[in-house]
Amino acid sequence: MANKKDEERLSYMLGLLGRKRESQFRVDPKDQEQPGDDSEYEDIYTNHQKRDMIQRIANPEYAFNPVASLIEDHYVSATRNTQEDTEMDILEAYKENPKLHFDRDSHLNYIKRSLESKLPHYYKSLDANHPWMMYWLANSYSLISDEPLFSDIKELINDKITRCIVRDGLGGIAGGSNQIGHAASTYAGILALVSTENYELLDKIRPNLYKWYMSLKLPNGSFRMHVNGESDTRSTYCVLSVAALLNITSEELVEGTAEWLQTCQTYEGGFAGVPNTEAHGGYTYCALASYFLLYSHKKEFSKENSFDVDGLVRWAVMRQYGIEGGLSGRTNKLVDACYSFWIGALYPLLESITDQSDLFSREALGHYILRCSQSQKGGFRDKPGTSVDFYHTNYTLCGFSICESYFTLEDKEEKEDKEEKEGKEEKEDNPQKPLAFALKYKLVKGDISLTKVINPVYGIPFELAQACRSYFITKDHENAS
Amino acid sequence: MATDYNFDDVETVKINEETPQLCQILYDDEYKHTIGILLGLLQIREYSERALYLTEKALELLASHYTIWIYRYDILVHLNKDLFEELDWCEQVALENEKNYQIWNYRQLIITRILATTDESSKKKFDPHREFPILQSMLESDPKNHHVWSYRMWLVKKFNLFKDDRENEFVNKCISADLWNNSAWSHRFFLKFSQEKDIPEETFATEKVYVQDYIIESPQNPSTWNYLTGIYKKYNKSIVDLEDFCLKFVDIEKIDDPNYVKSSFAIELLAKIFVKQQKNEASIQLYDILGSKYDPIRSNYWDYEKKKLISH
Repeated sequence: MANKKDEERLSYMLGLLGRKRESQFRVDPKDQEQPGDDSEYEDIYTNHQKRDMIQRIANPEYAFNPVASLIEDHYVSATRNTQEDTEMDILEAYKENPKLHFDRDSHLNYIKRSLESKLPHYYKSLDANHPWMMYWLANSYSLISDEPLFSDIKELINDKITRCIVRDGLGGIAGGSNQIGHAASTYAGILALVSTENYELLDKIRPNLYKWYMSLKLPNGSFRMHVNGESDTRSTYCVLSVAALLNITSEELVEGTAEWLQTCQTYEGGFAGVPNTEAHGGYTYCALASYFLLYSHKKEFSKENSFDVDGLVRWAVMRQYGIEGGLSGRTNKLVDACYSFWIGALYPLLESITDQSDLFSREALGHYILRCSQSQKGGFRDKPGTSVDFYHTNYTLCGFSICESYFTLEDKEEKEDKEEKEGKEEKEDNPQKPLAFALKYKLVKGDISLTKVINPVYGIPFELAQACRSYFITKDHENAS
Repeated sequence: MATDYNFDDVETVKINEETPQLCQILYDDEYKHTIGILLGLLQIREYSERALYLTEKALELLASHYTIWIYRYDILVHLNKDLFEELDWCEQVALENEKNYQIWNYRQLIITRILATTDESSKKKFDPHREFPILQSMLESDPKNHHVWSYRMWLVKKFNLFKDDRENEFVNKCISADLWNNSAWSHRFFLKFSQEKDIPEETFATEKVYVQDYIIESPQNPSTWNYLTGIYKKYNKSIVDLEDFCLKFVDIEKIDDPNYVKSSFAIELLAKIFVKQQKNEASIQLYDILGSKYDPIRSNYWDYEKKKLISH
């Protein structure tokens, strides 16, 4: 048992936290509210209420309508209660927003307003995220606008990122000017520069970024975020994804990385940030996307030392919920629209590996996005009752784009055989072309979509990622010859 | 606390104030002033008491400013500060910034440094149990805080607390307080099964009984079913053993009647067991009813599982 001193410290700490909000549960079950007759009654009552609501909002013309589980489990706990409350909030949102519409003009306004107007002082919470703000907003714009970014906006994006670049890239890109370089800020900064197609600047910093990345590499195969920083699947993805875009990947850079990633898959099938922690949507995205950057042949997924694809498929599809239609990031956690991308992007990647065109319900996710996450004033939010923000707007739009497209992997072996017969050689890319750049897409609805197709390994428009890599492949070819 | 440090000689730097600028934050004066001086000191690599003081002020204003954490660590090392005091101070910051994660990586750095700079006989030997109160209060407030659980995992591994009584008691309590807390189950799996060499056979048996009791208490909980199938996979045991257990939750004869179905996970596991028993037809029927009735949101996935059986 804890000694007296520990107990004093604990009660002091709880006091501090209690000032802010009520503790959600007591570790000692005696203190916890027991399910008695009242809550039993309440449980039945809400279930009745829920079914009634579901019946009332059902629209026979829709491919998705919320469905309550026919299986009843009367266990009560904090997790069950918050889940129950969230389901009711979401059903309420479905009732209030019966129509499936996409308010493009409001979103474009929201994005422009966010870029151009001055942000109140409490936005200082994003002061270490300047490149992220540029990526989230520029990318949201690119996904839904028919017009390219205005040239003055492009210039200002370039200015901002330039101020965050540390020693021409030798120290990476920082979260703000005069801060220290950070692999995630670098990732966001590079994606923003890819959006503005500023290849000149990218070309200038890419040899230095390579050196910086090598300095972040750990003996286990993963990468650190920065000097003395954490290393996990996220930092590793941030490095690999930029390296592939700028064509600076080398054998040395990726040595041991796939082997390390494999140790992050958990007993549940998803990936954790580091071995032995809980499987999580964001880290799982980073892990699977990393495999698409490390592997160049589909058959590598069936290698003995690769990860368990079936286990990951199962974990990924379990993230979609029947009443909400949206996606959660972990087992027994609530839906959140940002997982429309972090989890949502797993599906097309897994579909391309398994040759299955639909592993999840695109319709259901689309309903959650348009009817529960979309704000009529522009932007997207986590869930009803929360506010829109740049982050959720970008990742929800990315997720919506995934609902509108299918992906397959071009069969490289077949293609190579064919080309050999025809006496052709693949010249446009190097022989180790990562799978991320071997994806092919088609639109779900034939030829119309509300958003641009994204590359699910990047969360930026498909053509922009392709154009950037092609630019550097060509450039390196020319330099070599 | 000393406030009489003088910074008049420091050249402050701009913190994203240039105009015109996209997403320009209208910093309050205190923030602009503090961060401006601090980043100025960082540029000239000043490792001093006044810089240390200012990092504290700055982190009070914005705990997620990772640059300041990195700088603060370097200052501590240069000034050879008492690292135990630093851990105490850190706890305050953690409690005031529950969602912050930089602090947990920082704490690992500090402890790693303590271990590297003290020896066994030192009076200042680090006792990992000193971490339990802060971890407990953080997890009571947010029982699924991913960063705190990750830090807890690191601590257990670093100090070999796998069999520590207090650690095991804690995770038991977290689970019994909320059987649906998946973070607690994940941590349990780590405690019981992550050491490659040293997992005794009896752990399999005791954990199986432990989780099965909780499945009976709440049969539609994905966390417990994942744990159960997870240990079968870990020990390479055949899931066919679980047929009778699954049949507690579903009456195959009356499967169309929801009154006879207590768990969709039992149906799913039975479908997999039937495949192992070469009863593919029976398995396909179960996938069909999952897709049409008990788990329709995943009907595409159940179709995919079915297709795999037909094509093989």
